Amino acid sequence: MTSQAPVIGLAPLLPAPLAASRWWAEPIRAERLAALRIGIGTTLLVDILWLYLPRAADFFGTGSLGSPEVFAGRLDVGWRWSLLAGIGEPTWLLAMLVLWAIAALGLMLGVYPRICAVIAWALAISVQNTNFYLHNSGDNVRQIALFYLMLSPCGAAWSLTAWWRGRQQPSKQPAFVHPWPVRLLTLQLVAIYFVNGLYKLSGGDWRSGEVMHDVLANVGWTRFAYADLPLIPGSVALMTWTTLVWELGFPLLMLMPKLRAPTLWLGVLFHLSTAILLPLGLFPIYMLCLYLPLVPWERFERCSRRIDSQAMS
Amino acid sequence: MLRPGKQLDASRLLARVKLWPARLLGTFIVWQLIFIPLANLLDFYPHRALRMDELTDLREVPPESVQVPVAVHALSAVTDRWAQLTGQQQMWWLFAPQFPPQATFAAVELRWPDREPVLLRSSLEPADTSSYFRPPGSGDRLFQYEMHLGLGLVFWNPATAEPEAVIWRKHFADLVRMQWKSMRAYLRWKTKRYLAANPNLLPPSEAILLMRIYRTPQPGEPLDEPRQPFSQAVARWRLADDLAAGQVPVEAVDPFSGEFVRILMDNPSRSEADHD
Repeated sequence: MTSQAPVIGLAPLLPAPLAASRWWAEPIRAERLAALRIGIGTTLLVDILWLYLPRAADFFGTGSLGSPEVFAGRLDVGWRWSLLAGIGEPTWLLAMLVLWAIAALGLMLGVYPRICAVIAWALAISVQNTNFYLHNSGDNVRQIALFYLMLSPCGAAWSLTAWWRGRQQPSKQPAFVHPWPVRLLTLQLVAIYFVNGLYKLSGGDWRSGEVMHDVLANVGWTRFAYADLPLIPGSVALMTWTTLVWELGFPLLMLMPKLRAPTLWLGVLFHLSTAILLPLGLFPIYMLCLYLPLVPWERFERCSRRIDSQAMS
Repeated sequence: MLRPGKQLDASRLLARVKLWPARLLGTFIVWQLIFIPLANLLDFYPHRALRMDELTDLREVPPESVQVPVAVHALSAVTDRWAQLTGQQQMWWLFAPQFPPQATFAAVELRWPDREPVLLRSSLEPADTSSYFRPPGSGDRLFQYEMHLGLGLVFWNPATAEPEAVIWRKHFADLVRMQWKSMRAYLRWKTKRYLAANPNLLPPSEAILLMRIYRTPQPGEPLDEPRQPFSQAVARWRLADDLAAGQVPVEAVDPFSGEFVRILMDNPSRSEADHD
């Protein structure tokens, strides 16, 4: 970080051990957070336009699969809430979905990104609690990412707001942000994989290497028939054990600088495979969005500048 | 309140006040650092009592089995509420610890007193199990819904269930007691769609929720031949039904006799009455 580079957003007052840690205290390039914002905004927009809206009348409103009385009991428990509770009028619900899509678009482009993140987060929770059975853990990942985006200066880079600000007050310095949202999301990512790995380890079929066969041969859980898949002998057991070892080892592998990138590439491969093979909705893509702040975008910028200067000379 | 004789250092006070947002953010970060591992750790200890009001995807145990130490109860009350409030539910156990040995597809049979019944299969059920493609899209969301309806039957095998008939009868009744609202919504939705496509028809007298169940072949079994499912009735909704107080509006099936049974809402252990 250069000495005069602006750090955007509130600096948290952290307790001594965290404040002394560079990982927690040293500002990072704002592009890291911007990449998350763009990824989540784009995926959410696709989610709304492609996975909800085509069947909105089937999923929401009186007489639908998510008729207000069906999941009303969820809101009696703890602190669950929904802005759509009791609303059965399809026009209102459709208007909410449109508002949600606008918020996703605003998040993607970086137009009032934090306000858009608040709207997107509130409607994401509300929609999930209105028709819970439509959802899976990918939607929890979506909500968690939106929660951090609404609390952080996610529009500091790669946003129309930042571009407009840059026109008003031109600056050659790159923007920086405090690293806490990216660090907390990284820890969340580690928790997701490690906990998944522990539950898998307790299952006999995972240890015996047979689970991937059970998944891929299950006609309900696959996009393609097992017989149509170009699998070589032993690959199913290899996939099972690789998943198990990778998930359990994820925290440790992430601590090793040399193994970090291969570990994440394996994760990319894993999630792309599940997106192609299993009807999990956008779960794999939401998970991949959590990888975006881990990409060193600033290095690409340096490369691009170097290429530009070479071309100029 | 200021004590007499003490001078207020306005600038210091202002500086302290200005630190509050930073302190608050710091506290939030520390709390998140505690919350993420703690919420996940607590979920290894079954502490949530099963509520008979639709599935939650959380790890729940029957109320009589919940024997939670006070500390776990107190901590989980805090983490659960924070997760519910902020949408940070921690439930990370995809396909673990077990994966279902069967696939279930919801189907609806509509019955009239004066005409042949009609079977409405799920749009997600492949016509040929040996070769199919299920494109991504809104069908993935519908799949999640139908999967929740069939989740209680993924281990059901009528050929081996007889020795545990009492347990299975209770299981089938409890499924309806817990999921009758979503089952009725599904039956109503399918009926409405069918009647919209066939406007000359009168509404059926009853709609039956079935699961078409496909067993997953074991490793080594042939996979390139079409597989046949078996059908299992789960619940019946009589469209013009007069209910007594406390009765569930959808009837459960006795999986061994095939008869439908009227069940009561409140007490899961109460014996069934009013065999059809």
